[in-house]
Amino acid sequence: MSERTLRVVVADDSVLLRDGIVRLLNDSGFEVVAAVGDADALLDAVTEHEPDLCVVDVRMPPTHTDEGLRAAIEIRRRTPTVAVLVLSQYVEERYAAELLEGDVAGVGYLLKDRVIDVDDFLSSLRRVAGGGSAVDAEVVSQILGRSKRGSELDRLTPREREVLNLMAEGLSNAGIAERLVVSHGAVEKHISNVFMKLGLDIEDGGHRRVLAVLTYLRAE
Amino acid sequence: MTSGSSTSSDATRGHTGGVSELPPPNSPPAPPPPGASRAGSSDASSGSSPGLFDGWDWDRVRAVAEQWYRPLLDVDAWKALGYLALGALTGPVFFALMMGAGAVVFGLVFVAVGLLLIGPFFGLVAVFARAERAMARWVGFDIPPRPVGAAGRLGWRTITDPERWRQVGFLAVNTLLAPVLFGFGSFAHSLVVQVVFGDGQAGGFLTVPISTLLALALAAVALGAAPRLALFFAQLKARITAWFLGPDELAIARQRVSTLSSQREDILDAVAAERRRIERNLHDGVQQQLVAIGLDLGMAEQQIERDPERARELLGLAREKVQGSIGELRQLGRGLHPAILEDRGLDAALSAVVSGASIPIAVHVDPDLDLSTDVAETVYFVANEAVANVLKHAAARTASVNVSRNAANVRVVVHDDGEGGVDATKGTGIAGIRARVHAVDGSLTISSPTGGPTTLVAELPRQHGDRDV
Repeated sequence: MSERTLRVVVADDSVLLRDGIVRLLNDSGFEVVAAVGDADALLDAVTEHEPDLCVVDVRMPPTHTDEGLRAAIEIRRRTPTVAVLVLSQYVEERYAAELLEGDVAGVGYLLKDRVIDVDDFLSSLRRVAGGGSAVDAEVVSQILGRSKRGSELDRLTPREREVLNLMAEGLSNAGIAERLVVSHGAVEKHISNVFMKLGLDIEDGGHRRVLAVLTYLRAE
Repeated sequence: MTSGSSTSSDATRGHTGGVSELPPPNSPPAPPPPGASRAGSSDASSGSSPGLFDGWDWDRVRAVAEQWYRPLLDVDAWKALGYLALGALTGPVFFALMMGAGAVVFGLVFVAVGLLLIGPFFGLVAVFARAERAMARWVGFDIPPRPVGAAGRLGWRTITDPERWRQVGFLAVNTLLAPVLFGFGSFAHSLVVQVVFGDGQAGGFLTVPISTLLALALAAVALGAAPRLALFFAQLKARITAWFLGPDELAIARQRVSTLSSQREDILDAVAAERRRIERNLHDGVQQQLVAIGLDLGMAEQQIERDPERARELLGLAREKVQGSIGELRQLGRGLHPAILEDRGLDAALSAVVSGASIPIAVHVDPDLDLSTDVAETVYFVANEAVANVLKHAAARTASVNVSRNAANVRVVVHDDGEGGVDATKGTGIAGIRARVHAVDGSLTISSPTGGPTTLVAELPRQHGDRDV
């Protein structure tokens, strides 16, 4: 995945955090082509540098509400080749839903404090830049908690639920195996059980699976 | 009996001896000289025919008589009579003048000049009304003026102001009312005068002793009743005057209610703005710092094997950020509730506010302020916010905070030599200060010409709590 140096634009109005992320990315083999503090500068930087990935804070000046999210959606609309990872102070399903509404390939939505778990954060970044997706575990559990599919979900074993969560977060089979410290074959078996019990019809792994799972969970 | 009773009554009623032993200084035209009336009364009640009253309890009679005649020595009763008498004169005079002036104005309206006289006409009415209010002060009625609308450029607006017409109405009513009330109030006085001094009538009575006795007895009773009647009718008149010309208590209360509810809106807005500010400070300040610290630590953890030097560097960065966060949290807490204010008082609390400032800020607090708790908190809040504003926006080299007291108020002055140009209508800082100041019935003024200096003055009542409306 990392043969090529990924070019990144970082947008965050908190100088401390922006500097921290830039330092982390530079130290970890990314190339930060621009670091900006507001949505307009972000859009300009994306047009100018055409990066592989943007890391975007939701709240930015002037109103400190959802400028970053709007900009992220705009970037996806204008240049679908640019992957976007949105960082949020708190999880809001509405934001996630807006962002993940269309194609979830190359889209991520994470709680800001996930950056502290440096390795996970970097692998989420690489996954999103590579056309995968990253949905915060918090968002997934909110969606699960509100899902009307409670009775169907009850039929899953605890392990299968864990696997479902990780699929919804956007992890690949290999990623799930690594996270749960189980074999690749065991993951595949769990996944096929989940699909069978929920009656989902999904051909392959990857982001389409995420979408299918999220759609299923959110359905009435 | 009378002179003795006068001194004893003085003592018991708490009057100044000088006033009540002499005849009333500004005695009105009608009343009989006190000496004469005393003679008459003693004749009537005790002296005239002792044989008839043998066996009476004279001490008791004296006590009753004393009580009955005591008001004659009350200077207020004579003032009341004077008030009624003068009012009986001014009532018709003011009315006549008003009608005359009104007729002239009305007549001249047809040649347009009259239009210019409408304002002066109502001005004249207001002068008469003020005179009537001033007279009521003699009988202890301090009638504040009833607010009237602005007169407008040419005074035309007066003609549509119901309050102006209320004054006209009063003068019209008063022209009849004042003489009538004077008649009632002085009825007993005139009766006494007629009996004692009316030669023709008295001469007639003398031929028929029983009638004379009756008349004298009646006069004796009337003499005691006279001051009471005068007081009663004078108060009645003052009350009526106050009803017409005094402020409307309901209107005052309504005004106060609407002021209070708009202040309450301001306070709620300020509270909401304050909450937003705190939330933002927490989210965008402390939380971001914690995430950044976590990021440094995460990277240090990652690098500790490969590059210990880099890891050490990252740990140092994290430590610096922790210090920054602690400072920010302290600042935030200070804005929420000043614990130091309770523990150490206003001087210490304000000194703490300026201690961390980047420029020298002098603090002077009057040691003897005697403030109620909510006012002390407001003083602290105002100074704290104002200083924060100075540090954030003013680009000042020095500043000062001065808290002083005068009779009923405490005055907070925050001055800086910065670039000025503070727009009091913008920014939540000033709005917050204003709302807090209004919440304790204080006032706020800001002088900030472009180029500076800026002076903020908040004046608050020192004791704030339940107050009369």
